[in-house]
Amino acid sequence: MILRLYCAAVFAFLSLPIVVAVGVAFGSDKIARFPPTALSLRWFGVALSNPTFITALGNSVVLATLTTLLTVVIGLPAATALVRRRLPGQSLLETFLLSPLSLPGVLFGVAMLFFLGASGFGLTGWGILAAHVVIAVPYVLRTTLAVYRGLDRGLEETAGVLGASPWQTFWHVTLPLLRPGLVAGGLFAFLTSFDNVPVSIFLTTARTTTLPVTIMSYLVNQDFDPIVGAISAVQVALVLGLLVLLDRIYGIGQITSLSGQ
Amino acid sequence: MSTPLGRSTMAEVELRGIAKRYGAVQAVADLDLRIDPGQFVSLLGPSGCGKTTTLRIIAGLVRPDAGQVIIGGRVMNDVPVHHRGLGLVAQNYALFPHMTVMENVTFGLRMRRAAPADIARRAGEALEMVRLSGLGDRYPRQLSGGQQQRVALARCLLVEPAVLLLDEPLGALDKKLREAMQVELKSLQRQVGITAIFVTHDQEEALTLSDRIAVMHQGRIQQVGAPHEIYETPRTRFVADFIGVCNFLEGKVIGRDAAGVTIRTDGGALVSIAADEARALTEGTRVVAAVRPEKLTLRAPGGSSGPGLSARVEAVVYVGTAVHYHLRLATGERLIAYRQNDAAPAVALATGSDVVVSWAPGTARLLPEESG
Repeated sequence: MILRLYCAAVFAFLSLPIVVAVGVAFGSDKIARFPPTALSLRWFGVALSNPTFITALGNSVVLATLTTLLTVVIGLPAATALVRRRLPGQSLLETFLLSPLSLPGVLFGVAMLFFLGASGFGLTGWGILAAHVVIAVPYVLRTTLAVYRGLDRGLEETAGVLGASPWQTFWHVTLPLLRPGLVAGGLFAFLTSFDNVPVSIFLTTARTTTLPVTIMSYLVNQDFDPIVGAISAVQVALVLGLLVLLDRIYGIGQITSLSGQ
Repeated sequence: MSTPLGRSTMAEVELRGIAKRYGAVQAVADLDLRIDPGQFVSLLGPSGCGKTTTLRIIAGLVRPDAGQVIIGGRVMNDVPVHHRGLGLVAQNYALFPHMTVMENVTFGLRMRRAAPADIARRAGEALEMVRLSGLGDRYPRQLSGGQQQRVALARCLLVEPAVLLLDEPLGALDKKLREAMQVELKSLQRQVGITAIFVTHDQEEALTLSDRIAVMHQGRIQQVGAPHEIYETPRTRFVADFIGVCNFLEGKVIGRDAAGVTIRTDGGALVSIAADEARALTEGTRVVAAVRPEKLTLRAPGGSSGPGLSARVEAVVYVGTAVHYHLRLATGERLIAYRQNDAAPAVALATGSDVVVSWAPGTARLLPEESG
């Protein structure tokens, strides 16, 4: 009973702010008010016809998608090397690859800004992508390593004895069994990129700005109004849609438990 | 030979001077072994004796430091695992959890890009052979241990391996099921006519299944032979001790004649043993006399039916099919004797009673005293 109350309290604490922000968007009032006095979708219209928000939303989706793909492409071979090979300085290498997790985002953002300036790359979308990949790789690496380390080596060996080449073994046995880790890590990578502010804020320009950065600067300049609520609701809807999709395909319990079964 | 699974290859396996070291541990040392085509051979020994390493060397999963692996007349040392054409059933079966039974069974053929119609036909036959028809759509986790075991076997046999490698495949099953699977495994191996190498630490399993047994200890083969040879005429104390139960009397040779030798045990008992071969047993050589508990005969003291050792019954253990008598000789050594629980009238041998222990000539073995 107490546990249930506790759970309910935690759940409320976590979700109420979102409910308020999203709820505001469904009001017809000119200023943000919760609960709204009358329901309306007008602010969605306003938000979605605002070119700044739409550009930023598009940028964020493309950026998060590319970040996810790249982190998987980098994280999978890295995990394979860390688990299946004996490398000099193995644990050091692993710590290094996971270190962005413990680095303050602002610090990394500033450092990246100086680096892109000093090295002559300049502030382009590629710079932001690189920065997002660096901070998102640890998530994919972490989850994939966890599944990899729990993987029965005998499965791969048996596949080999049965006539599968190393590549066939990887494709037909190892990769399918690692998939829960890759999907979970990829999901975290997507979300990390999709709602990142501390790093992005140093690296974006008017052309490359992301949705969270745009929302932030809008709030700084305009104050909280229903337009922000509407665009936040769109963002939440996108993420929820992604989660539902993954749940349909893999089962969310499987992804979060990383059991590999 | 033709089987439902196609032509059997019946390869001969030969190991020459195989050695493998892991750090300070000599896992396998200078190991020679020849396995005739179609034979069922067990590598038997306690954990850490090198039996699994030997199997993995044959499979190509471990590279030996020295020696040659020859299968079907071909040196396999540089042939990668997936080109050796072998089959392996691991202790936990290593079924692919993300594949159905059918996908598991057909894995090897699919990797070899066999024709789909051929795959389907042979898979159907294989599943029938292991009595799993109709379960093709299940996942391994939905099967019982015995069924998983049979899937692993079918998966193996479908690729028509030159040699079937079995790494304690019955270890995870309970006793009843294990005995049933032993029979099944053996008849399947006969039916397919495949050479099989079976790794186990269970001596009973090895005795039941094998044409020949190689007993391993500390990376070396102690003795190779048919089950009855290993049991009846062990060549070392380790083998006698590891296979079954055995009584040992340590002592010194004090005399020899045409019939055999006489030894004086460390406790002082005089024991005559038929020494068959011309073994160089000079007086004073330290030896061990080994005799199995079921070879011992117990009788009441008095009377004059030949030589024997005086002993006292210290404990009587009833185990159903037999009665175990724990004895202490008048000279201090302990022995254990089994008597079959048959129709013969039981002699009243209660704890504390005095008896005379004897055995038929030739049932005791003289073994060299072990150095290690």
